[in-house]
Amino acid sequence: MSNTVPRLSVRDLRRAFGGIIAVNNVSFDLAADHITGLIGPNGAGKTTVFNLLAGSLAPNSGTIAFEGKPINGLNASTIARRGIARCFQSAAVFRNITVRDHIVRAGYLKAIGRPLDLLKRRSLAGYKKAARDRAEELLDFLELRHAADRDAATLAYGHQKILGVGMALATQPRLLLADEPAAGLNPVETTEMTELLRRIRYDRGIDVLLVEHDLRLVMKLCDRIIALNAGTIIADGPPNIVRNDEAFITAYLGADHAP
Amino acid sequence: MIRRWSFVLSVATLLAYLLIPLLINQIFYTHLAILIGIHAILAVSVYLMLKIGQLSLAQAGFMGIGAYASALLTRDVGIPFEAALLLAGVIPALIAGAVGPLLMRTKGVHFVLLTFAFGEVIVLTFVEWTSLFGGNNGISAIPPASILGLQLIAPSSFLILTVIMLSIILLCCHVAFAGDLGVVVEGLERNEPLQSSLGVNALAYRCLIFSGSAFIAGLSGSLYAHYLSFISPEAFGFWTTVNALILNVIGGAQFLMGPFLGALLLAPLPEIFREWVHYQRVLYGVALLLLMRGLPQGFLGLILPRLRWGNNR
Ligand SMILES: Nc1ncnc2c1ncn2[C@@H]1O[C@H](COP(=O)(O)OP(=O)(O)OP(=O)(O)O)[C@@H](O)[C@H]1O
Ligand SMILES: [Mg+2]
Repeated sequence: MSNTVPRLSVRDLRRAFGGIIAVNNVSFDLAADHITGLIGPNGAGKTTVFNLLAGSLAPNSGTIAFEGKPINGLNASTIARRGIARCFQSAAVFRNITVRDHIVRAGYLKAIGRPLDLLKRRSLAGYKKAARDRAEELLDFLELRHAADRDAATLAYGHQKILGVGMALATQPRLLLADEPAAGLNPVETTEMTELLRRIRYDRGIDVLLVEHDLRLVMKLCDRIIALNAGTIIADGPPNIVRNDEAFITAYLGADHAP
Repeated sequence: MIRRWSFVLSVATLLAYLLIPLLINQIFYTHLAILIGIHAILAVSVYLMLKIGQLSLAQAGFMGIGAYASALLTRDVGIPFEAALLLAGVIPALIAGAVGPLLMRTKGVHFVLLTFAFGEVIVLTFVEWTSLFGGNNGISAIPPASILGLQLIAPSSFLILTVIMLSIILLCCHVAFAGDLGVVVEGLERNEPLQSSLGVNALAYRCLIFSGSAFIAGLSGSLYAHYLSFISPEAFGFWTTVNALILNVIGGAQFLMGPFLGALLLAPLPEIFREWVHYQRVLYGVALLLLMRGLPQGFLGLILPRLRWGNNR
């Protein structure tokens, strides 16, 4: 990966729902090796940006390129196979299978992403073996080994969210989209999640784009912050600069906090 | 363990279902058993769609396509029954595969309505295209089934064919769902956004299941046509699909054997209580209401608690 091609390049992205323009001409580049925070008040358009990037929604206009190749208009599964993973705002787990099996399954599902893949039995066996090995390593990385054999649905909420991140990691992404990973977590769990995200970036070299309402977490963790309001970028830069940006303070914290 | 027992039990049920009418050796019972089998196969096709959480009302239409294809191909083109039977599955499967990408983008009520309309279009085509499909008069003088030169004119021989077909279909579904397809299908029903984000093309898999269900419905159509040697459009309308759905609900739509059990219990009723046929739908309605209240998982849910065929291993 040459340093000149950004990991992700977004140009003039736009998406409306009826009369509401949820995302309005948003452009940004994500350089490789960054944790970037995408912040903004409720309804700013953050989840919509994620849905557009991940292919769950089609943009009305604009382009998205991942590592130099356009991905707008591709469906969610293709984008996932290209190397963008996401974890969801609500803890998302399948039912009735163990934590370990969740991670294993997440690791090989893309190998059977299309019906014809079911016919490649030989290479599938190799894929599953690799997914099982990766799952063992991930259980340690996620610090979920103690719960490996438990039914995932019985996990505490915080651990379910960590499992969600782990399933995303099992797909071996190069960019992770994390939508409010700390929402609903208690302070201890929030610290665990922050630490996990940091290790994802520094130990595994996976870029992270993070939506989060917990500003302290964002300021502490991110190399860069993009602030959205009403679908438009109002501030973009390192945390200490954005923190003091007037437009950001007004939109995000309310006018009375303005300096 | 419980899974192995349920398998043994299923095979035993299928064998009993084949052997008892053969031993009694009266045409009426053999006739009932054949009808059960044909209805069960159509009900399995409905089951496949329920498995991905979607109700398709076009299944009887696909059955009709299989029936007409098989009838016309053997009677007018003169191809052997074996080939016609296969094509009776392939043709509806291809049609479902062609419209699938359009229909399968919708979900819930929209999908139900679209498939309802599609099923009606199929039946209307049989009615209106008289030169090919014979209109409301249908098609008669359909040649009997024959396998490897052996004509299956005796009802008992046709029953053997029906049971073999039903068994093959059930076994194929069981094997397919016990493997990776089962994993994907389960994920489609439970958490599709998550599964897509892990790289699974949900639309392609839903189309595959839709196609497969049309294939199976088409097979039931071929058996139906060659057994009765006469078909007409009204046999493939909305109510036929609804009946197949009811077989699932009564038998237990969670289980692969559910549709068969439902057929075993219900398919003979209209034949046995001929003079009650007018009240059949009312009876079905009342039975359904009672079931939904008391036995939401159908009879198999009562017999085989917690057992789910073909879900994760
Ligand atoms: N599927 C949809 N249909 C209609 N309107 C939508 C849809 N999704 C989002 N919107 C609207 O688009 C705007 C942006 O919503 P979005 O969910 O992207 O905000 P957000 O920044 O993620 O907010 P939050 O912080 O509450 O999660 C909102 O006004 C929302 O009502
Ligand atoms: Mg949101």
